[in-house]
Amino acid sequence: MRKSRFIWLPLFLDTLIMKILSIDTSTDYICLGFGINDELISEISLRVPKKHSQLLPQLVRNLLEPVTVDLRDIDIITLSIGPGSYTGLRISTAFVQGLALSNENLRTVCVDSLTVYAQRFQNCKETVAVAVDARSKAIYGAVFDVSDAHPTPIIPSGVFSVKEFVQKLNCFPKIILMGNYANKIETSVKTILPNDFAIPSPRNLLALGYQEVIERKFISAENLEPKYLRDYIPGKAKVFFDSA
Amino acid sequence: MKVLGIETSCDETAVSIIENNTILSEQVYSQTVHESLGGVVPELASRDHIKKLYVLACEVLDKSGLAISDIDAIAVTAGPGLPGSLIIGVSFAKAIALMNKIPIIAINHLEGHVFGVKLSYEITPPFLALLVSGGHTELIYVHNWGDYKLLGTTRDDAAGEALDKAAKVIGLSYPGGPEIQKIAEKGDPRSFRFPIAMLHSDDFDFSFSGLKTAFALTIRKLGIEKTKRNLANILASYQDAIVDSLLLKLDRASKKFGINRIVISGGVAASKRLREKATVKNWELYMPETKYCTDNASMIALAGEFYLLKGQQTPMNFPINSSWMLGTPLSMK
Repeated sequence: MRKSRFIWLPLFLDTLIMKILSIDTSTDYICLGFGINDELISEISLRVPKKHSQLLPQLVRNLLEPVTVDLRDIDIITLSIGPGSYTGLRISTAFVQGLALSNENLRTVCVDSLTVYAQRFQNCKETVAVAVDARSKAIYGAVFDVSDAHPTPIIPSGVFSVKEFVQKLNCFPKIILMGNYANKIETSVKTILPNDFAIPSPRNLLALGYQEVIERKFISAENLEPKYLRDYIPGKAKVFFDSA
Repeated sequence: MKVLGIETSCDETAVSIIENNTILSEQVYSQTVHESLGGVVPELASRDHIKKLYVLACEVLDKSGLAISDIDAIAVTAGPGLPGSLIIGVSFAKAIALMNKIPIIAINHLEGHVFGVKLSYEITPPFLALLVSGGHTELIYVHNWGDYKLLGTTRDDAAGEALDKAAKVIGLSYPGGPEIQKIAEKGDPRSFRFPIAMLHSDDFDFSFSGLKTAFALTIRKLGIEKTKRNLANILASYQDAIVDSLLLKLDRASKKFGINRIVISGGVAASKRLREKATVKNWELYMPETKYCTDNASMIALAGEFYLLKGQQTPMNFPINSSWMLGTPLSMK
Protein backbone atom coordinates (compact mmCIF):
# COMPACT_ATOMS: atom_id res chain seq x y z
CA MET A 1 0.00 0.00 0.00
CA ARG A 2 1.19 3.50 -0.78
CA LYS A 3 2.29 5.58 2.12
CA SER A 4 0.99 9.11 2.07
CA ARG A 5 3.68 11.68 2.41
CA PHE A 6 3.74 13.29 5.81
CA ILE A 7 1.56 16.34 5.75
CA TRP A 8 1.74 18.87 8.49
CA LEU A 9 -1.71 19.42 9.86
CA PRO A 10 -2.30 21.96 12.59
CA LEU A 11 -4.05 20.87 15.74
CA PHE A 12 -7.07 22.97 14.87
CA LEU A 13 -7.97 22.36 11.26
CA ASP A 14 -10.40 25.27 11.17
CA THR A 15 -7.38 27.61 11.20
CA LEU A 16 -6.22 26.18 7.88
CA ILE A 17 -7.46 27.27 4.45
CA MET A 18 -8.60 24.17 2.65
CA LYS A 19 -9.92 23.80 -0.88
CA ILE A 20 -12.75 21.29 -0.80
CA LEU A 21 -14.42 19.54 -3.75
CA SER A 22 -17.80 17.96 -2.95
CA ILE A 23 -19.24 15.19 -5.14
CA ASP A 24 -22.67 13.56 -5.06
CA THR A 25 -23.74 11.05 -7.75
CA SER A 26 -26.14 9.08 -5.58
CA THR A 27 -29.18 10.03 -7.70
CA ASP A 28 -29.91 10.97 -11.33
CA TYR A 29 -28.02 14.21 -10.65
CA ILE A 30 -24.38 15.07 -10.58
CA CYS A 31 -24.03 17.61 -7.76
CA LEU A 32 -20.65 19.26 -7.40
CA GLY A 33 -19.48 22.00 -5.08
CA PHE A 34 -16.21 23.81 -4.65
CA GLY A 35 -15.61 25.54 -1.35
CA ILE A 36 -12.93 27.11 0.74
CA ASN A 37 -13.41 25.57 4.14
CA ASP A 38 -17.17 25.66 4.69
CA GLU A 39 -17.81 28.55 2.31
CA LEU A 40 -19.30 27.44 -1.01
CA ILE A 41 -17.63 29.24 -3.94
CA SER A 42 -19.18 27.49 -6.94
CA GLU A 43 -21.63 24.69 -7.57
CA ILE A 44 -23.18 22.60 -10.33
CA SER A 45 -26.28 20.40 -10.12
CA LEU A 46 -27.25 18.73 -13.36
CA ARG A 47 -29.69 15.91 -14.07
CA VAL A 48 -27.78 13.37 -16.16
CA PRO A 49 -29.59 10.01 -16.00
CA LYS A 50 -27.19 7.16 -16.83
CA LYS A 51 -24.50 9.58 -18.00
CA HIS A 52 -22.62 10.21 -14.76
CA SER A 53 -19.46 8.46 -15.90
CA GLN A 54 -19.47 10.33 -19.20
CA LEU A 55 -20.04 13.79 -17.78
CA LEU A 56 -18.41 13.81 -14.34
CA PRO A 57 -14.88 14.76 -15.53
CA GLN A 58 -16.15 17.59 -17.74
CA LEU A 59 -18.42 18.94 -15.01
CA VAL A 60 -15.54 18.94 -12.51
CA ARG A 61 -13.60 20.97 -15.06
CA ASN A 62 -16.59 23.31 -15.55
CA LEU A 63 -16.81 23.78 -11.80
CA LEU A 64 -13.16 24.63 -11.20
CA GLU A 65 -12.11 26.55 -14.31
CA PRO A 66 -14.26 29.68 -13.72
CA VAL A 67 -12.81 30.02 -10.21
CA THR A 68 -9.29 29.39 -11.58
CA VAL A 69 -8.63 26.41 -9.38
CA ASP A 70 -6.61 23.48 -10.67
CA LEU A 71 -7.79 20.01 -9.67
CA ARG A 72 -4.31 19.44 -8.23
CA ASP A 73 -4.89 22.28 -5.76
CA ILE A 74 -7.82 20.49 -4.11
CA ASP A 75 -6.97 19.44 -0.54
CA ILE A 76 -10.10 17.56 0.44
CA ILE A 77 -12.85 15.60 -1.32
CA THR A 78 -16.24 15.35 0.33
CA LEU A 79 -17.92 12.26 -1.07
CA SER A 80 -21.59 11.48 -0.72
CA ILE A 81 -21.14 7.78 0.01
CA GLY A 82 -24.73 6.52 -0.03
CA PRO A 83 -27.25 5.13 0.24
CA GLY A 84 -28.42 5.68 -3.32
CA SER A 85 -27.93 4.39 -6.86
CA TYR A 86 -25.29 1.67 -6.67
CA THR A 87 -23.87 2.54 -10.07
CA GLY A 88 -23.87 6.26 -9.32
CA LEU A 89 -22.09 5.72 -6.02
CA ARG A 90 -19.50 3.45 -7.57
CA ILE A 91 -18.77 5.97 -10.32
CA SER A 92 -17.91 8.72 -7.84
CA THR A 93 -16.06 6.31 -5.54
CA ALA A 94 -13.86 5.01 -8.39
CA PHE A 95 -13.40 8.60 -9.61
CA VAL A 96 -12.24 9.77 -6.18
CA GLN A 97 -9.91 6.78 -5.91
CA GLY A 98 -8.41 7.78 -9.28
CA LEU A 99 -7.89 11.33 -8.00
CA ALA A 100 -6.33 9.99 -4.79
CA LEU A 101 -3.91 7.84 -6.80
CA SER A 102 -2.83 10.97 -8.64
CA ASN A 103 -2.34 13.16 -5.57
CA GLU A 104 -1.02 11.50 -2.43
CA ASN A 105 -1.84 14.56 -0.35
CA LEU A 106 -5.52 14.49 -1.23
CA ARG A 107 -7.76 13.48 1.66
CA THR A 108 -11.32 12.23 1.57
CA VAL A 109 -14.23 12.47 3.96
CA CYS A 110 -17.53 10.67 3.45
CA VAL A 111 -21.02 11.90 4.18
CA ASP A 112 -24.30 9.96 4.40
CA SER A 113 -26.30 10.85 1.28
CA LEU A 114 -29.64 11.14 3.08
CA THR A 115 -28.23 13.47 5.73
CA VAL A 116 -27.28 15.90 2.94
CA TYR A 117 -30.98 16.53 2.24
CA ALA A 118 -31.75 17.13 5.91
CA GLN A 119 -28.82 19.52 6.42
CA ARG A 120 -30.70 22.13 4.35
CA PHE A 121 -33.10 22.64 7.28
CA GLN A 122 -30.51 23.04 10.03
CA ASN A 123 -31.66 24.93 13.12
CA CYS A 124 -35.29 24.39 12.16
CA LYS A 125 -37.90 23.01 14.53
CA GLU A 126 -39.46 20.63 12.02
CA THR A 127 -38.77 16.93 11.47
CA VAL A 128 -37.23 16.07 8.11
CA ALA A 129 -37.91 12.74 6.40
CA VAL A 130 -35.83 11.69 3.40
CA ALA A 131 -37.00 9.09 0.88
CA VAL A 132 -34.80 8.06 -2.04
CA ASP A 133 -35.80 5.48 -4.63
CA ALA A 134 -34.18 2.11 -3.95
CA ARG A 135 -36.10 0.28 -6.76
CA SER A 136 -38.32 -2.78 -6.34
CA LYS A 137 -40.92 -0.75 -4.40
CA ALA A 138 -38.35 0.03 -1.72
CA ILE A 139 -36.81 3.26 -0.53
CA TYR A 140 -33.75 4.40 1.30
CA GLY A 141 -35.27 6.36 4.12
CA ALA A 142 -34.31 8.26 7.24
CA VAL A 143 -35.90 10.78 9.60
CA PHE A 144 -33.94 13.60 11.19
CA ASP A 145 -34.25 16.08 13.99
CA VAL A 146 -32.75 19.28 12.53
CA SER A 147 -33.06 21.57 15.53
CA ASP A 148 -29.24 21.79 15.80
CA ALA A 149 -26.58 22.86 13.33
CA HIS A 150 -26.30 19.25 12.14
CA PRO A 151 -29.10 16.72 11.63
CA THR A 152 -29.53 14.03 14.25
CA PRO A 153 -31.12 10.81 13.02
CA ILE A 154 -34.38 9.84 14.70
CA ILE A 155 -34.71 6.92 12.27
CA PRO A 156 -31.24 6.18 10.83
CA SER A 157 -30.67 5.53 7.12
CA GLY A 158 -32.15 2.19 6.15
CA VAL A 159 -34.01 0.26 3.45
CA PHE A 160 -37.78 0.22 3.89
CA SER A 161 -40.80 -0.80 1.91
CA VAL A 162 -42.84 2.28 1.03
CA LYS A 163 -45.67 1.07 3.23
CA GLU A 164 -43.38 0.49 6.19
CA PHE A 165 -41.79 3.93 5.86
CA VAL A 166 -45.16 5.67 5.58
CA GLN A 167 -46.28 3.93 8.77
CA LYS A 168 -43.23 5.32 10.54
CA LEU A 169 -43.86 8.83 9.19
CA ASN A 170 -47.47 8.75 10.36
CA CYS A 171 -46.17 8.75 13.94
CA PHE A 172 -44.88 12.32 13.54
CA PRO A 173 -47.21 15.31 13.78
CA LYS A 174 -45.69 17.13 10.82
CA ILE A 175 -42.78 16.44 8.45
CA ILE A 176 -40.76 18.02 5.69
CA LEU A 177 -40.28 15.45 2.93
CA MET A 178 -37.10 15.38 0.84
CA GLY A 179 -35.46 13.01 -1.65
CA ASN A 180 -36.35 11.81 -5.15
CA TYR A 181 -39.21 9.64 -3.82
CA ALA A 182 -40.70 12.37 -1.62
CA ASN A 183 -43.42 13.36 -4.10
CA LYS A 184 -44.65 9.76 -4.27
CA ILE A 185 -45.09 9.33 -0.51
CA GLU A 186 -48.63 9.70 0.79
CA THR A 187 -48.92 10.11 4.54
CA SER A 188 -51.84 10.88 6.82
CA VAL A 189 -49.91 13.65 8.54
CA LYS A 190 -49.23 17.19 7.43
CA THR A 191 -46.28 17.24 5.05
CA ILE A 192 -44.30 19.96 3.36
CA LEU A 193 -42.68 19.27 -0.01
CA PRO A 194 -40.08 22.01 -0.61
CA ASN A 195 -38.78 23.13 -4.00
CA ASP A 196 -35.85 21.08 -5.28
CA PHE A 197 -36.81 18.26 -2.92
CA ALA A 198 -35.07 15.73 -5.19
CA ILE A 199 -31.68 17.45 -5.49
CA PRO A 200 -28.87 16.87 -2.98
CA SER A 201 -27.44 20.35 -2.44
CA PRO A 202 -23.66 20.82 -2.82
CA ARG A 203 -23.84 23.55 -0.15
CA ASN A 204 -25.16 21.10 2.41
CA LEU A 205 -22.78 18.38 1.32
CA LEU A 206 -19.89 20.81 1.85
CA ALA A 207 -21.19 21.83 5.28
CA LEU A 208 -21.36 18.21 6.43
CA GLY A 209 -18.04 17.35 4.83
CA TYR A 210 -16.31 20.28 6.50
CA GLN A 211 -17.55 19.05 9.87
CA GLU A 212 -15.98 15.65 9.13
CA VAL A 213 -12.73 17.40 8.22
CA ILE A 214 -12.69 19.33 11.51
CA GLU A 215 -13.27 16.06 13.32
CA ARG A 216 -10.47 14.49 11.22
CA LYS A 217 -12.69 11.67 10.01
CA PHE A 218 -10.62 11.02 6.92
CA ILE A 219 -11.12 7.80 4.96
CA SER A 220 -8.17 6.40 3.01
CA ALA A 221 -8.77 5.71 -0.69
CA GLU A 222 -8.38 1.93 -0.32
CA ASN A 223 -11.16 1.90 2.26
CA LEU A 224 -13.65 3.90 0.21
CA GLU A 225 -16.74 1.83 -0.43
CA PRO A 226 -20.33 2.88 -1.13
CA LYS A 227 -22.82 2.56 1.69
CA TYR A 228 -25.01 -0.11 0.08
CA LEU A 229 -27.21 -0.84 3.11
CA ARG A 230 -28.18 -4.11 1.45
CA ASP A 231 -26.09 -7.25 1.21
CA TYR A 232 -26.34 -8.81 -2.20
CA ILE A 233 -27.25 -12.47 -1.82
CA PRO A 234 -27.60 -14.22 -5.16
CA GLY A 235 -29.88 -17.23 -5.56
CA LYS A 236 -28.31 -20.59 -4.89
CA ALA A 237 -27.32 -22.52 -8.01
CA LYS A 238 -29.66 -25.34 -8.97
CA VAL A 239 -27.58 -28.51 -8.91
CA PHE A 240 -28.59 -31.86 -10.41
CA PHE A 241 -26.25 -33.62 -8.04
CA ASP A 242 -23.22 -32.63 -6.04
CA SER A 243 -20.29 -34.28 -7.79
CA ALA A 244 -17.95 -33.12 -5.03
CA MET B 1 5.62 6.11 -23.91
CA LYS B 2 4.53 4.73 -20.53
CA VAL B 3 0.92 3.57 -20.68
CA LEU B 4 -1.15 2.60 -17.66
CA GLY B 5 -3.67 -0.08 -18.66
CA ILE B 6 -6.86 -0.79 -16.72
CA GLU B 7 -9.17 -3.77 -17.26
CA THR B 8 -12.38 -4.41 -15.28
CA SER B 9 -14.74 -5.79 -17.92
CA CYS B 10 -15.79 -8.94 -16.05
CA ASP B 11 -14.41 -10.70 -12.97
CA GLU B 12 -10.73 -9.81 -13.25
CA THR B 13 -9.43 -6.54 -11.86
CA ALA B 14 -6.20 -5.78 -13.66
CA VAL B 15 -3.69 -2.95 -13.91
CA SER B 16 -0.47 -2.81 -15.91
CA ILE B 17 2.20 -0.39 -17.05
CA ILE B 18 3.91 -0.97 -20.37
CA GLU B 19 6.48 0.93 -22.38
CA ASN B 20 7.51 0.12 -25.96
CA ASN B 21 5.60 -3.20 -25.92
CA THR B 22 7.40 -4.21 -22.71
CA ILE B 23 5.65 -4.83 -19.41
CA LEU B 24 7.13 -2.75 -16.60
CA SER B 25 4.71 -4.00 -13.96
CA GLU B 26 1.36 -5.78 -13.91
CA GLN B 27 -1.20 -7.15 -11.47
CA VAL B 28 -4.31 -9.26 -11.99
CA TYR B 29 -6.83 -10.12 -9.30
CA SER B 30 -9.28 -12.89 -10.21
CA GLN B 31 -12.43 -12.62 -8.15
CA THR B 32 -13.19 -15.70 -6.08
CA VAL B 33 -16.60 -14.56 -4.88
CA HIS B 34 -18.34 -16.27 -7.82
CA GLU B 35 -16.81 -19.74 -7.34
CA SER B 36 -19.74 -21.33 -5.54
CA LEU B 37 -22.35 -19.47 -7.59
CA GLY B 38 -21.89 -21.16 -10.95
CA GLY B 39 -21.09 -17.99 -12.86
CA VAL B 40 -20.21 -14.32 -12.57
CA VAL B 41 -22.76 -12.36 -10.52
CA PRO B 42 -22.57 -8.79 -11.92
CA GLU B 43 -23.40 -6.98 -8.67
CA LEU B 44 -20.79 -8.93 -6.73
CA ALA B 45 -18.24 -8.32 -9.48
CA SER B 46 -18.82 -4.55 -9.28
CA ARG B 47 -18.48 -4.55 -5.49
CA ASP B 48 -15.22 -6.45 -5.70
CA HIS B 49 -13.71 -4.19 -8.38
CA ILE B 50 -14.22 -1.14 -6.15
CA LYS B 51 -12.40 -2.90 -3.32
CA LYS B 52 -9.43 -3.98 -5.41
CA LEU B 53 -8.76 -1.51 -8.24
CA TYR B 54 -7.06 1.26 -6.25
CA VAL B 55 -4.98 -1.22 -4.26
CA LEU B 56 -3.77 -2.97 -7.44
CA ALA B 57 -2.94 0.35 -9.10
CA CYS B 58 -0.81 1.32 -6.09
CA GLU B 59 0.98 -2.03 -6.19
CA VAL B 60 1.69 -1.74 -9.91
CA LEU B 61 3.14 1.74 -9.49
CA ASP B 62 5.22 0.68 -6.49
CA LYS B 63 6.63 -2.38 -8.26
CA SER B 64 7.51 -0.37 -11.35
CA GLY B 65 9.30 2.24 -9.26
CA LEU B 66 7.37 4.89 -11.13
CA ALA B 67 5.26 7.75 -9.85
CA ILE B 68 1.90 8.47 -11.38
CA SER B 69 3.45 11.64 -12.84
CA ASP B 70 5.72 9.39 -14.96
CA ILE B 71 2.72 7.92 -16.77
CA ASP B 72 2.16 9.38 -20.24
CA ALA B 73 -1.30 8.00 -21.04
CA ILE B 74 -4.12 5.76 -19.85
CA ALA B 75 -5.74 2.89 -21.74
CA VAL B 76 -8.94 1.44 -20.35
CA THR B 77 -11.41 -1.23 -21.42
CA ALA B 78 -14.71 0.45 -22.39
CA GLY B 79 -16.50 -2.71 -23.62
CA PRO B 80 -17.74 -5.26 -24.29
CA GLY B 81 -18.37 -6.56 -20.79
CA LEU B 82 -20.50 -6.11 -17.70
CA PRO B 83 -21.72 -2.48 -17.55
CA GLY B 84 -21.35 -2.18 -13.77
CA SER B 85 -17.80 -3.50 -13.93
CA LEU B 86 -16.71 -1.52 -16.98
CA ILE B 87 -17.87 1.75 -15.48
CA ILE B 88 -15.60 1.37 -12.45
CA GLY B 89 -12.44 1.04 -14.50
CA VAL B 90 -13.51 3.84 -16.82
CA SER B 91 -14.36 6.27 -13.99
CA PHE B 92 -11.08 5.50 -12.22
CA ALA B 93 -9.12 5.95 -15.47
CA LYS B 94 -10.83 9.23 -16.33
CA ALA B 95 -9.97 10.70 -12.93
CA ILE B 96 -6.29 9.85 -13.40
CA ALA B 97 -6.27 11.34 -16.90
CA LEU B 98 -8.09 14.46 -15.73
CA MET B 99 -5.85 15.10 -12.73
CA ASN B 100 -2.60 14.44 -14.62
CA LYS B 101 -3.73 16.09 -17.87
CA ILE B 102 -2.72 13.08 -19.94
CA PRO B 103 -4.49 11.40 -22.88
CA ILE B 104 -6.91 8.55 -22.33
CA ILE B 105 -7.92 5.94 -24.86
CA ALA B 106 -10.92 3.59 -24.73
CA ILE B 107 -10.00 0.07 -25.79
CA ASN B 108 -12.25 -2.72 -27.03
CA HIS B 109 -11.70 -5.74 -24.78
CA LEU B 110 -11.63 -8.14 -27.73
CA GLU B 111 -9.05 -6.03 -29.49
CA GLY B 112 -7.05 -6.22 -26.28
CA HIS B 113 -7.04 -10.00 -26.63
CA VAL B 114 -5.86 -9.69 -30.25
CA PHE B 115 -2.95 -7.51 -29.08
CA GLY B 116 -2.42 -9.86 -26.12
CA VAL B 117 -0.76 -12.43 -28.36
CA LYS B 118 2.17 -10.00 -28.67
CA LEU B 119 2.84 -10.53 -24.98
CA SER B 120 3.91 -14.10 -25.76
CA TYR B 121 5.09 -14.00 -29.38
CA GLU B 122 6.47 -11.81 -32.09
CA ILE B 123 3.76 -12.12 -34.70
CA THR B 124 2.79 -10.19 -37.77
CA PRO B 125 -0.68 -10.03 -39.33
CA PRO B 126 -2.52 -11.25 -41.30
CA PHE B 127 -3.84 -14.03 -39.07
CA LEU B 128 -7.09 -15.54 -37.88
CA ALA B 129 -7.87 -15.07 -34.20
CA LEU B 130 -10.27 -17.23 -32.24
CA LEU B 131 -11.17 -15.44 -29.00
CA VAL B 132 -12.91 -17.86 -26.75
CA SER B 133 -13.83 -17.33 -23.12
CA GLY B 134 -16.75 -17.38 -20.69
CA GLY B 135 -18.11 -14.20 -22.25
CA HIS B 136 -16.98 -14.36 -25.87
CA THR B 137 -16.62 -16.67 -28.83
CA GLU B 138 -15.46 -14.67 -31.83
CA LEU B 139 -13.60 -15.60 -34.98
CA ILE B 140 -11.73 -12.61 -36.36
CA TYR B 141 -9.73 -11.99 -39.50
CA VAL B 142 -6.88 -9.70 -38.44
CA HIS B 143 -5.74 -7.99 -41.66
CA ASN B 144 -3.42 -5.73 -39.73
CA TRP B 145 -3.13 -4.33 -36.22
CA GLY B 146 -6.24 -2.21 -35.84
CA ASP B 147 -7.85 -3.61 -39.00
CA TYR B 148 -10.27 -6.46 -38.35
CA LYS B 149 -13.17 -8.31 -39.83
CA LEU B 150 -15.47 -10.25 -37.53
CA LEU B 151 -16.08 -13.53 -39.35
CA GLY B 152 -18.29 -15.21 -36.81
CA THR B 153 -19.56 -15.14 -33.28
CA THR B 154 -21.78 -17.23 -31.03
CA ARG B 155 -25.50 -16.97 -31.56
CA ASP B 156 -26.24 -17.83 -27.94
CA ASP B 157 -23.84 -18.94 -25.20
CA ALA B 158 -20.10 -18.42 -25.30
CA ALA B 159 -18.03 -21.63 -25.32
CA GLY B 160 -16.73 -20.96 -21.81
CA GLU B 161 -20.27 -20.26 -20.67
CA ALA B 162 -21.34 -23.70 -21.96
CA LEU B 163 -18.60 -25.24 -19.83
CA ASP B 164 -19.57 -23.10 -16.80
CA LYS B 165 -23.24 -24.00 -17.10
CA ALA B 166 -22.55 -27.72 -17.41
CA ALA B 167 -20.29 -27.53 -14.37
CA LYS B 168 -23.01 -25.71 -12.47
CA VAL B 169 -25.56 -28.43 -13.27
CA ILE B 170 -23.37 -31.12 -11.72
CA GLY B 171 -22.29 -29.00 -8.76
CA LEU B 172 -18.75 -28.12 -9.85
CA SER B 173 -17.38 -24.71 -8.95
CA TYR B 174 -16.89 -21.72 -11.26
CA PRO B 175 -15.07 -21.42 -13.61
CA GLY B 176 -16.27 -24.72 -15.03
CA GLY B 177 -13.59 -25.28 -17.71
CA PRO B 178 -10.68 -26.30 -15.45
CA GLU B 179 -12.98 -28.41 -13.24
CA ILE B 180 -14.43 -30.26 -16.21
CA GLN B 181 -10.97 -30.74 -17.70
CA LYS B 182 -9.68 -32.32 -14.49
CA ILE B 183 -12.40 -34.98 -14.51
CA ALA B 184 -12.51 -35.36 -18.30
CA GLU B 185 -8.82 -36.32 -18.43
CA LYS B 186 -9.77 -39.75 -17.08
CA GLY B 187 -12.62 -40.23 -19.53
CA ASP B 188 -13.10 -41.44 -23.10
CA PRO B 189 -14.33 -38.58 -25.32
CA ARG B 190 -15.89 -41.07 -27.79
CA SER B 191 -18.22 -42.67 -25.28
CA PHE B 192 -21.11 -40.20 -25.54
CA ARG B 193 -22.32 -38.37 -28.62
CA PHE B 194 -23.13 -34.71 -28.24
CA PRO B 195 -24.29 -32.59 -31.18
CA ILE B 196 -22.06 -30.08 -32.92
CA ALA B 197 -24.30 -27.16 -33.76
CA MET B 198 -24.24 -25.34 -37.10
CA LEU B 199 -22.10 -28.09 -38.59
CA HIS B 200 -23.57 -27.58 -42.03
CA SER B 201 -24.05 -23.81 -42.02
CA ASP B 202 -21.77 -21.99 -44.43
CA ASP B 203 -21.01 -19.11 -42.04
CA PHE B 204 -18.51 -18.95 -39.20
CA ASP B 205 -20.98 -18.58 -36.34
CA PHE B 206 -21.16 -20.87 -33.34
CA SER B 207 -23.96 -22.12 -31.10
CA PHE B 208 -23.67 -23.92 -27.78
CA SER B 209 -27.12 -23.71 -26.22
CA GLY B 210 -28.32 -26.94 -27.89
CA LEU B 211 -25.23 -28.74 -26.70
CA LYS B 212 -25.81 -27.50 -23.19
CA THR B 213 -29.40 -28.78 -23.30
CA ALA B 214 -28.21 -32.13 -24.67
CA PHE B 215 -25.84 -32.36 -21.70
CA ALA B 216 -28.62 -31.66 -19.21
CA LEU B 217 -30.91 -34.21 -20.90
CA THR B 218 -28.17 -36.83 -20.94
CA ILE B 219 -27.52 -36.69 -17.22
CA ARG B 220 -31.23 -36.53 -16.47
CA LYS B 221 -31.80 -39.63 -18.60
CA LEU B 222 -28.94 -41.50 -16.99
CA GLY B 223 -29.97 -40.60 -13.47
CA ILE B 224 -27.70 -39.75 -10.59
CA GLU B 225 -25.97 -43.10 -10.08
CA LYS B 226 -25.18 -43.82 -13.74
CA THR B 227 -24.08 -40.23 -14.27
CA LYS B 228 -21.69 -40.46 -11.35
CA ARG B 229 -20.22 -43.71 -12.70
CA ASN B 230 -19.83 -42.25 -16.19
CA LEU B 231 -18.97 -38.68 -15.24
CA ALA B 232 -15.45 -38.68 -16.71
CA ASN B 233 -16.73 -40.08 -20.02
CA ILE B 234 -19.65 -37.66 -20.19
CA LEU B 235 -17.47 -34.65 -19.47
CA ALA B 236 -14.72 -35.77 -21.85
CA SER B 237 -17.32 -36.14 -24.62
CA TYR B 238 -18.96 -32.82 -23.81
CA GLN B 239 -15.62 -31.00 -23.71
CA ASP B 240 -14.65 -32.52 -27.04
CA ALA B 241 -17.92 -31.45 -28.64
CA ILE B 242 -17.12 -27.84 -27.72
CA VAL B 243 -13.50 -28.07 -28.84
CA ASP B 244 -14.47 -29.75 -32.12
CA SER B 245 -17.10 -27.12 -32.81
CA LEU B 246 -14.51 -24.34 -32.37
CA LEU B 247 -11.80 -26.00 -34.43
CA LEU B 248 -14.18 -26.97 -37.23
CA LYS B 249 -15.11 -23.36 -37.98
CA LEU B 250 -11.53 -22.21 -37.54
CA ASP B 251 -10.38 -24.84 -40.01
CA ARG B 252 -13.01 -23.79 -42.53
CA ALA B 253 -12.05 -20.14 -42.23
CA SER B 254 -8.38 -21.00 -42.59
CA LYS B 255 -9.08 -22.86 -45.81
CA LYS B 256 -11.51 -20.29 -47.21
CA PHE B 257 -9.20 -17.30 -46.68
CA GLY B 258 -5.94 -19.17 -47.25
CA ILE B 259 -4.62 -18.07 -43.87
CA ASN B 260 -2.52 -20.59 -42.00
CA ARG B 261 -1.42 -18.32 -39.18
CA ILE B 262 -3.82 -18.89 -36.30
CA VAL B 263 -4.13 -17.29 -32.87
CA ILE B 264 -6.31 -18.85 -30.17
CA SER B 265 -6.77 -16.75 -27.05
CA GLY B 266 -9.21 -16.08 -24.21
CA GLY B 267 -9.83 -18.10 -21.04
CA VAL B 268 -10.90 -21.28 -22.88
CA ALA B 269 -7.58 -21.25 -24.78
CA ALA B 270 -6.04 -22.45 -21.51
CA SER B 271 -7.89 -25.75 -22.09
CA LYS B 272 -5.41 -28.60 -22.50
CA ARG B 273 -7.78 -30.44 -24.80
CA LEU B 274 -8.15 -27.43 -27.11
CA ARG B 275 -4.39 -27.04 -27.17
CA GLU B 276 -3.84 -30.74 -27.95
CA LYS B 277 -6.34 -30.81 -30.77
CA ALA B 278 -5.25 -27.45 -32.26
CA THR B 279 -1.58 -28.42 -32.18
CA VAL B 280 -2.06 -31.40 -34.48
CA LYS B 281 -3.62 -29.20 -37.16
CA ASN B 282 -1.34 -28.07 -39.92
CA TRP B 283 -1.33 -24.47 -38.69
CA GLU B 284 1.24 -21.91 -37.70
CA LEU B 285 -0.36 -21.80 -34.27
CA TYR B 286 -0.01 -19.13 -31.61
CA MET B 287 -1.63 -19.74 -28.23
CA PRO B 288 -0.48 -17.20 -25.61
CA GLU B 289 0.68 -18.48 -22.25
CA THR B 290 -2.24 -19.03 -19.91
CA LYS B 291 -1.86 -15.79 -17.94
CA TYR B 292 -2.21 -13.80 -21.16
CA CYS B 293 -5.11 -15.91 -22.44
CA THR B 294 -7.23 -14.73 -19.54
CA ASP B 295 -8.20 -11.10 -18.97
CA ASN B 296 -5.28 -8.82 -18.14
CA ALA B 297 -4.43 -5.15 -18.38
CA SER B 298 -1.14 -5.52 -20.25
CA MET B 299 -3.06 -6.39 -23.43
CA ILE B 300 -5.19 -3.26 -22.96
CA ALA B 301 -2.12 -1.08 -22.40
CA LEU B 302 -0.48 -2.61 -25.47
CA ALA B 303 -3.49 -1.85 -27.68
CA GLY B 304 -3.59 1.64 -26.14
CA GLU B 305 0.07 2.27 -26.90
CA PHE B 306 -0.49 1.27 -30.53
CA TYR B 307 -3.22 3.88 -31.02
CA LEU B 308 -1.58 6.57 -28.89
CA LEU B 309 1.60 6.34 -30.93
CA LYS B 310 -0.57 6.93 -33.99
CA GLY B 311 -1.73 10.14 -32.32
CA GLN B 312 -5.19 8.89 -31.37
CA GLN B 313 -6.97 9.41 -28.09
CA THR B 314 -10.59 9.32 -26.91
CA PRO B 315 -12.53 12.39 -25.75
CA MET B 316 -13.04 12.35 -21.98
CA ASN B 317 -16.83 12.05 -22.29
CA PHE B 318 -16.73 8.60 -23.86
CA PRO B 319 -19.33 6.11 -22.64
CA ILE B 320 -18.95 2.44 -21.86
CA ASN B 321 -20.50 0.05 -24.37
CA SER B 322 -21.29 -3.35 -22.92
CA SER B 323 -21.84 -4.82 -26.40
CA TRP B 324 -19.15 -2.94 -28.32
CA MET B 325 -18.49 -4.92 -31.49
CA LEU B 326 -14.91 -5.29 -32.62
CA GLY B 327 -14.07 -3.18 -35.63
CA THR B 328 -16.85 -0.66 -34.97
CA PRO B 329 -16.35 2.76 -33.37
CA LEU B 330 -17.28 3.28 -29.73
CA SER B 331 -20.65 5.00 -29.90
CA MET B 332 -20.43 8.53 -28.47
CA LYS B 333 -24.13 8.98 -27.65
